[in-house]
Amino acid sequence: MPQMVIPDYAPQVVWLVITFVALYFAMAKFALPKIAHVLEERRKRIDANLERAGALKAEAEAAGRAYEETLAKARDAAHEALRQATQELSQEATKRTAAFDQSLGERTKAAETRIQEAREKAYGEIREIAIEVAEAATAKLIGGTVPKERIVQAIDSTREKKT
Amino acid sequence: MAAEHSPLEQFAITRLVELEVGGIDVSFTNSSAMMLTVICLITLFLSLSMRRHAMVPGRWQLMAELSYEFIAKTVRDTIGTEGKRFFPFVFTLFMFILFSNGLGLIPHSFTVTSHIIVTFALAAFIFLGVTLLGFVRHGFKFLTFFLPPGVPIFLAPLLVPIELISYLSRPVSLSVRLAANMLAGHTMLAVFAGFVVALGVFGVAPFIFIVLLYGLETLVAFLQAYVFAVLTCIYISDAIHLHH
Repeated sequence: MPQMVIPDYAPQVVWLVITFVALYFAMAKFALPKIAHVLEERRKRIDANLERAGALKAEAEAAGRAYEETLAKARDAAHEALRQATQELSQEATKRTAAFDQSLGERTKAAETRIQEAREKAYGEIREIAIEVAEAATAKLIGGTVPKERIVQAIDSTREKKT
Repeated sequence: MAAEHSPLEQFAITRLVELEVGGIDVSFTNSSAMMLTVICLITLFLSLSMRRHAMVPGRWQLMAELSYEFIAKTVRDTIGTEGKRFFPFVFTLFMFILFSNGLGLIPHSFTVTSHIIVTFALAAFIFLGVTLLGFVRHGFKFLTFFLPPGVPIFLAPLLVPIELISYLSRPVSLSVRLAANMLAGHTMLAVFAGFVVALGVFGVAPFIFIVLLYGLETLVAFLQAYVFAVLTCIYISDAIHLHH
């Protein structure tokens, strides 16, 4: 069995040491640092990109929030303006209604006063006429004169009974 | 030495250049040639694939990066952040064994790791290094490694020898596992390859078996390299952290 040939051991071990040490230095000094450098660069680049993406996302979110805020503010302002306008208009309407009511009342009162005056005047005239008619009628019927006071008294009492 | 067409013939060491330095036989053998090929291929693979070191890796660069990250992750997971110092060694070890196993699967080539002396040399170096590391870091407290904390003292006479034997058998199990796997796989391939020729038309059956076995051996080649690297990491971790 070739594995058991003792004289072959020395050259194998010697060459193993030579080649292994050579490979170790080639790996440790050149190959591995190079790969490590490339991997490190890539990791840094990825990290930087992720960081930038995160910053951009935060920025976009902030912009979104600002937009929402402005929108809310504008909506509030619009609501306020609408409310104020409505209030002003309703106040104006109340004022005008009140003024109109007042003037209407005044005119109604004036008209009523005028009617009252006219009626009183008319009653007064009717009394005068009635007295004259009664005077004339009594004179014609009885042929004598009746004192004016009695006639006035009789007419007034009749009028009071009617009303 | 094996017979001419023995399945073990493939493991024979042949001296290509006879050399002797200070009474030690340092002949350049087929094994040495294979080791040189292995380290050259690893170096070429890693340097050529990383030549353009693009931000977005191509196929070759990705393979180099994946092998780097695969071992880096293994080291980080088993040893922790302190494992960074040992990463170049574990990486070299893994790549050396992986390429040796892999190149050995090429017909008529030679499998460096099928020789117990090679794997034992690696395992012994790891064993000595790890033991030295333990003593350097913990002084004589490292000896408490053989008596886990919380164990009643009257169990010590039983437990210490068991722990000691299990510790001392580490290099043996580590080296035998790899060499035996390679030896068995390659011998089996050679034996069934002999059947293909011997059985003539019916050689199709062992031929199909060889194809399947070859796939399995490819897996074993990778797996054994990984197991060797992982166990090395665990031993280093043991020496650093003493008791988990």
